[in-house]
Amino acid sequence: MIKLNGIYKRYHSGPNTIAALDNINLHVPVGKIMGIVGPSGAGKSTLIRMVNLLERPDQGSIIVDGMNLLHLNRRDLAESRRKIGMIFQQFHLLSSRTVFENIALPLELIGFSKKEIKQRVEELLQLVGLADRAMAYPAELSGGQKQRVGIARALAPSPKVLLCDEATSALDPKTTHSILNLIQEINRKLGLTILLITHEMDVIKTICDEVAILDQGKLVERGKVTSIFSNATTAVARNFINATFHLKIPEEYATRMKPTPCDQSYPLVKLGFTGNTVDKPLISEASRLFNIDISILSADVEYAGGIKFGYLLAELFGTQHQCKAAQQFFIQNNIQLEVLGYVRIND
Amino acid sequence: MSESMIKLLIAALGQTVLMVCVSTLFASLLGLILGVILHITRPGQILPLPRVQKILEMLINAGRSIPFIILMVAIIPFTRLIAGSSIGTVAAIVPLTVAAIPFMARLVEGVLMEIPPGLMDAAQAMGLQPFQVITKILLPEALPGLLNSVTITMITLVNYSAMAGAIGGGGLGDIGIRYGYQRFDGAVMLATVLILILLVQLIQSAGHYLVKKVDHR
Repeated sequence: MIKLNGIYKRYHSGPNTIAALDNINLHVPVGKIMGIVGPSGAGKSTLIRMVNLLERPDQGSIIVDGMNLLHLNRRDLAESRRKIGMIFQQFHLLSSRTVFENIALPLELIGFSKKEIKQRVEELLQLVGLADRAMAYPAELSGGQKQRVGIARALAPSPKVLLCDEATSALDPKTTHSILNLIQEINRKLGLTILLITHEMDVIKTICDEVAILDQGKLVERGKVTSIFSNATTAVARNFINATFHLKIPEEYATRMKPTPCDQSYPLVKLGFTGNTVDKPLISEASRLFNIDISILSADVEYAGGIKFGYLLAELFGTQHQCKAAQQFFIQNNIQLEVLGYVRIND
Repeated sequence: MSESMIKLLIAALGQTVLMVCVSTLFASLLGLILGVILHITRPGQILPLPRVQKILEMLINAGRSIPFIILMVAIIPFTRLIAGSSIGTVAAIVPLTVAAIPFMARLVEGVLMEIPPGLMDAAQAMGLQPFQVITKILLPEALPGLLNSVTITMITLVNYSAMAGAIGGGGLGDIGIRYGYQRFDGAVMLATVLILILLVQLIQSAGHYLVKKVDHR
């Protein structure tokens, strides 16, 4: 649905040339949610603004729904942009128009009749859950409500693509989740292709099918969310992924931990569940097979893209031999295993 | 104060109101158009035309730098062309309008600059053509500021209209100069000043009221 080929964009500031985007090739298939994540200044905003030509590339081609946008004249471009909805971090609603009138604006452009507008806007208000706020002005709404209006406005002309420019970055965590749920619902209900940019890996994990990681104007990694989470190769990607997990060895354990095994000590392991991990109750199986006890200290496991994903900190209680065998078993089932140390039991 | 003096003052108030209202109307419309062009032709705006922008910029600066009393005399041929005469209340409306246009244009430009640039992104993303951006976004969003600009322009025109006596335009300022100053009639001077203060007060209050009514920010 969206194809970016060989996109370059450079900015000149005095004698310096900064490559904002450096040979970007990106393909977002129909009906998928693709997220682009990267540190600030990586060029994410520039990239998403290329897709509806709010910014023009120096080089490259931008094809949306089979149409090369760079070949269109102004009138045709305006026409094509109606197939590409966009929502913004700062919402960008018209303060002079009510919620209803804001959503009606794109419909006025297409030349809908008053009756058609009313029907369509009411439909959209229903969809975004703001039916009772139709006559309010944006200044009277909360951030989350404003973004819902933004989404309804973007969806009004029945676009095929939705671009989300840091759409949840100005919202608190709870509101972020409700907006992400709405975006996902839209994707499923309407089959919309969605491209979003964010600096939060949590957003990617929550709703994206595919992810691309942008760093210093280059796409350094890209793939299914599950495969990037399990096999990230670049440091930037790893940093983003690690930031989404909140695992810490408890203080009290850390003081008793040694790097090598000794008498009366048991291994503390970090188990990583990824897209490749065999989907079985592996912990209890290991416990049964090798006659060991497993105590879970901390866990952060969730579903991302329909796959169980995350990390576990666990102590394995058994003889050295038994523990080794259990570790082997985990590795065979594609759990990433890391022995963090050996914890002496309390005297 | 004699009855004839009071009659004179009432007639003068009528002349001032006529001059101010008509010139405000024309200056606001033309100033609005110029201000919008000045804004949208800037680089990075919806219709960048650097050359047009520069010429307009120069014209507006020139217009604003000429003192009103000189402008009034300097454009007499133009005034005669438009109003059919170069003296009288109707004739005075022409230089008043001409003087207020660049003033209003600058105010309009300032108001338009206050519109968040993100709205232009949203407008472009929605596929608005430049003319639609003006009618559907710029003007409605700027409406409170524009009404405020009209108010300021109108009050400035009350001030300018005091000089209209120089070309026989009459009005309160003229009475103040001729009766109050030249004939040392303190009561008349005080009366004209008080009426002018009330007039400005009234315009300002009406302006405030309208701005408040349309402002949903």
